[in-house]
Amino acid sequence: MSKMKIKVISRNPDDYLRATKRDIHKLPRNYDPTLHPLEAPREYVRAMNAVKLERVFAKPFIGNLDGHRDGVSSLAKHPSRLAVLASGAFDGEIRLWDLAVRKCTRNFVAHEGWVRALCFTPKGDTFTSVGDDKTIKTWKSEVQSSVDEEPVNTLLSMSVVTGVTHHRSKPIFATCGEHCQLWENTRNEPVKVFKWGVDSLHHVSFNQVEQNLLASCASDRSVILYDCRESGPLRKVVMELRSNALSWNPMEAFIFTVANEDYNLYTFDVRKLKQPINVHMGHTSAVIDVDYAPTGREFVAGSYDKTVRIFESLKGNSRDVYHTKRMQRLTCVKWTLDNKYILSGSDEMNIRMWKARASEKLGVLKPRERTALNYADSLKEKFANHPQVKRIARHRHVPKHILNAQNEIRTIKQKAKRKEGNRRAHSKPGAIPFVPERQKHIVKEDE
Amino acid sequence: MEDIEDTDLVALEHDRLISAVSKLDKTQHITEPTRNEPTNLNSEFNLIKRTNKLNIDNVAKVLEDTAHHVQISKKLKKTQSGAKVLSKPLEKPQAERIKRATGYEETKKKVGRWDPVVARSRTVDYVTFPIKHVSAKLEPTSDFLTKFKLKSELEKELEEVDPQPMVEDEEEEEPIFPKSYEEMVEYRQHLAKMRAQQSYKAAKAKRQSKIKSKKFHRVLKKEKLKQELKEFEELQKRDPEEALKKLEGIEKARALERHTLRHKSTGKWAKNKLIRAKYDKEVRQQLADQLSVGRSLTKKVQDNQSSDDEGDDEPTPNFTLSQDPFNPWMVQRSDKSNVNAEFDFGYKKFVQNKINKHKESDDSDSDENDVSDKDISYAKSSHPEPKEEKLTVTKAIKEKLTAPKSKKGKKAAAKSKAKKPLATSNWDVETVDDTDNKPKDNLEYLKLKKQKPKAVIDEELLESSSKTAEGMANEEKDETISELVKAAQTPVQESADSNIDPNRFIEVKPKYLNTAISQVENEYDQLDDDQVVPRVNIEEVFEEDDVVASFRQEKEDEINKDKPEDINLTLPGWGAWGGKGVKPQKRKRNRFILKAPPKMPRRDENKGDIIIKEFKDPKLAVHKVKDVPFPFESVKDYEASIRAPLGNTFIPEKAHKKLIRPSIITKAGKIIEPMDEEELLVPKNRNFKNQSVMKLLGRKK
Repeated sequence: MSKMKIKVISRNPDDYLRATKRDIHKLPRNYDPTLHPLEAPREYVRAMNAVKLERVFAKPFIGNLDGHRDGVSSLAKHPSRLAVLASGAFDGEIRLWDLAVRKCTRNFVAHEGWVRALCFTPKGDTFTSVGDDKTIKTWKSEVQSSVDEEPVNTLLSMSVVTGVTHHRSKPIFATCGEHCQLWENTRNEPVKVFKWGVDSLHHVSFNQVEQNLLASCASDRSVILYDCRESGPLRKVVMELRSNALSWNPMEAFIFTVANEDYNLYTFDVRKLKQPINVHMGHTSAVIDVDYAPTGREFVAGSYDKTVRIFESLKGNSRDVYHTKRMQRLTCVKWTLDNKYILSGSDEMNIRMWKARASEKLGVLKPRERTALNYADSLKEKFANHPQVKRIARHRHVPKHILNAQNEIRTIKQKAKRKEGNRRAHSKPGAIPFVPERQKHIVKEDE
Repeated sequence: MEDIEDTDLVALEHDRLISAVSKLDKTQHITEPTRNEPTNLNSEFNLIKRTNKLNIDNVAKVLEDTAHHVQISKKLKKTQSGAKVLSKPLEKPQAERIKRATGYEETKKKVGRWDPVVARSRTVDYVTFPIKHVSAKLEPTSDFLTKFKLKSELEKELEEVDPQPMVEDEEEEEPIFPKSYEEMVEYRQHLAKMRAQQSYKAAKAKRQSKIKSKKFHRVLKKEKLKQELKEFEELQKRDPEEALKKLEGIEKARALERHTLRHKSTGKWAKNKLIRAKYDKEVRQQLADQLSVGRSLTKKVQDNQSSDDEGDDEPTPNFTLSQDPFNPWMVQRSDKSNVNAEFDFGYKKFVQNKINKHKESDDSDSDENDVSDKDISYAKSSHPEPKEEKLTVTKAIKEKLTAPKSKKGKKAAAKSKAKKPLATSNWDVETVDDTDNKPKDNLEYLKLKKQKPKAVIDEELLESSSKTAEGMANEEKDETISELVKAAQTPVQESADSNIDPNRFIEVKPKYLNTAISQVENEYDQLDDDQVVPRVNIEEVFEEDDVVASFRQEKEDEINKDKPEDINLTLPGWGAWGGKGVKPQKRKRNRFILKAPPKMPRRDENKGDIIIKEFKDPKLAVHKVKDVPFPFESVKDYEASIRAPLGNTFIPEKAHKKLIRPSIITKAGKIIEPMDEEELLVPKNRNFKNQSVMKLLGRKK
């Protein structure tokens, strides 16, 4: 060995020194995959860290709006202003809120008895409320003078009105109660009355995409579909238990979801009412209200079991569950129109504001921060099936009563399953057919 | 007043009379309700008895008297007898059912229009909300015209007083008469001359550029420079403005230079020179000149006038420059004295450091080569025979990287071979059963060409209250560990968590893992290695850290860790006296010590410096994926999806940005309106043709 030569790194400072202090540091990268044999393990570690951090930052509760002197019965979101929310209570009081400052801007007693439902007109300058006193009142959303505090219009109905919904573009709104009635803003009498059967209706909702369609939930456990033009009622689907609320997907014209008394939510396609296209499980008590996210990809459900659950519209299990110690039975939930927040009204007089994604950072994000978060999200997605990642991502603490209820439901289900299995084993083959979960809950489809 | 009262009285009495008369008739009379609002509802309380039916016989009877009327009555009767009676309408419930059915069919058809829109939005990689519609509608003419303002009176008057100069249309006036013949010929000759001159000049330039004489070029260049300088000076005197312009031009050239790579050591010429530079001092000088030109051209000109963002544009302190005198990039000035230094990069630094360390520097006049030679001989003498050592070390490390393909793993593989698809790497992944009860018709789960595959998790949340959480976790852990003991080994990731010491890896030849990553060898590197680093002794280079010893220590630890130990169950003082100074009986001692099973020979016992890990790390198994997640159909697909990196550490920035784009993009504070009918007209929606998805959406059950 005569000469010894050793390579030493010497680099051009142009490659690694930044030109100005404001630049980011230059990082020379060699993307040759042979130089990165441990890409996947490294990214796995990053994914683990990301998912842990996600759970660390998961603090969805933002705040509550208190002021009502009785349980909150209904909520309505303003169609064009994010900060405006109207809420009605069981004592007939209506409050308007400014969500940005979390203050009540206006309150007045609108009805005797419950405020059954509220809805804004599409322009947002007025809103309609219906109450137990058989009146339908229209109010101005903004008060300039004392005259504006009085209702703009009061309509008297023959029977109790339990729900109201407004057409997206025409000056028409529908109410439900004894029948589904169609009103025009200028008339004192309903323009049309849709009757089908004798049972009363408790929720009605207009489709926002296919604007002439509306659907209502009846107390005979059915969901009825209407066309507000000539044809009137179209079809009825009867379920095992009654549906409490209904929400149309704002992006997909033919999809709607109902919140059912049997702890489940059912997503239907208008064209295939014979069976729901999806059953969403998770609640441990009756589901009271449901509302779609404006993107149509998710929806939120509030239940009698004191929890709010968020579901993805194509998946059967909930993505997240929100609860607080003080929150009682949910009566209404809403997903705000910027897809960021969830509002829930409950029995104990409070309206609560939640983040729609529990660990999302609120406020302005710098581009690099956003990139980092996006990277973390896509890593979580990539490694979602790895057991540790999955375990951390899907673990939630719930109150003990929920856990107990879940255990109970589980045993009940197992029992039923076992029994069915036994019966099948001891009877003629084919005598006891396999019924898919989706068909189990539908009694019939009425023409 | 009295009149009114009188009339009231009269009206009252009249009413009374009428009611008295009507009481004589026993039938009930209900006054027809009057309404002042249009409605299509009749209250049940407002019903009155009334028949509207017209009896034609009665009508005809009235007319019977005259002959003329007889005719009419006959006609009437005839029409009545010949009229076809319409069939009785359907019962109301049935009629309504039919109405509902037809209405439903209509609605179904109408709603079906949305299929392509929905299918598209469900299957594309990402969607931005709110959905924007760029309206392609043209403005109505009237709207467009309203934007033009009329001139006010004042403006008009002003214009009369001082008319604005009319902007004349500058149209090039075409020569009306073409050139005369003579002119034409002259023009053509002129053009030909020009062309000829051009070609001469081109030929000359070509010839000159082919001249290889460097001296010629240098002289040429110098002349040119001189000429330019002279011209510039003259220009400065004559026409300062023009000079300024020229200066600007020069500045521009400099800027151009700044962002090209000229006058660096990267060109072909420079590379050639670089090879010769080792032996030829003159060439070195040339190269240095070249580099210095480049530097001077690319150096940022310090502006005398202070600018606002002075602090920002301030270059970073070049403290590193002074540190490393051997880096050719860092030499500030190049004059003849440090030409040598400029080419002293590479190994010389190392060598010189050694000199500084071990030798008293007395005479620095000696040649570079000389010094290195001496140094190497010195190194040799101080470390006798380290070569073999090094080789073994590398071998050991290699073994460690690849080794643990254990028996168990093989066995398991063999066992499940019948069912298992072959994995491209030795990961242990099982197939999913076909009896998977996952819903198959949800669009999310469809495998689409365009979509990047994502794992779909539709499972219950793992809910626990705070008390039960730990219990659950423990349970799970026990289970996994017990499973683990049985399960086959997965050795791939074992090296991941071992402590990586960069020193140990210095001499390892690249070991290609058994993956599908393209393995393009860097040939140049290989070549270079052979040339420049021929068999360096590791110990020689890394004198301070004793690699071999540390490796042996590691092996020792590994052996001790796995060695079973005796378990001592003696209870001092049990059945005998205990305490200080009392020794337990020998018999008892022997009885209560559980002998460890005899040590099994390790596989790496006599194999030199190798560590073979015989037991797998239980901590790793917890991280293993047990089966192929839903949308993926084969192990290969899933592995590929995991293998594709996302981070900008591994892939270029652009690809990274593209890959991490979230599937739903929303804007803060923007209201997302529901889908609009205009979306139906958007071409991308109309043209969306993914038949499988559409069929699925529109399928009837």
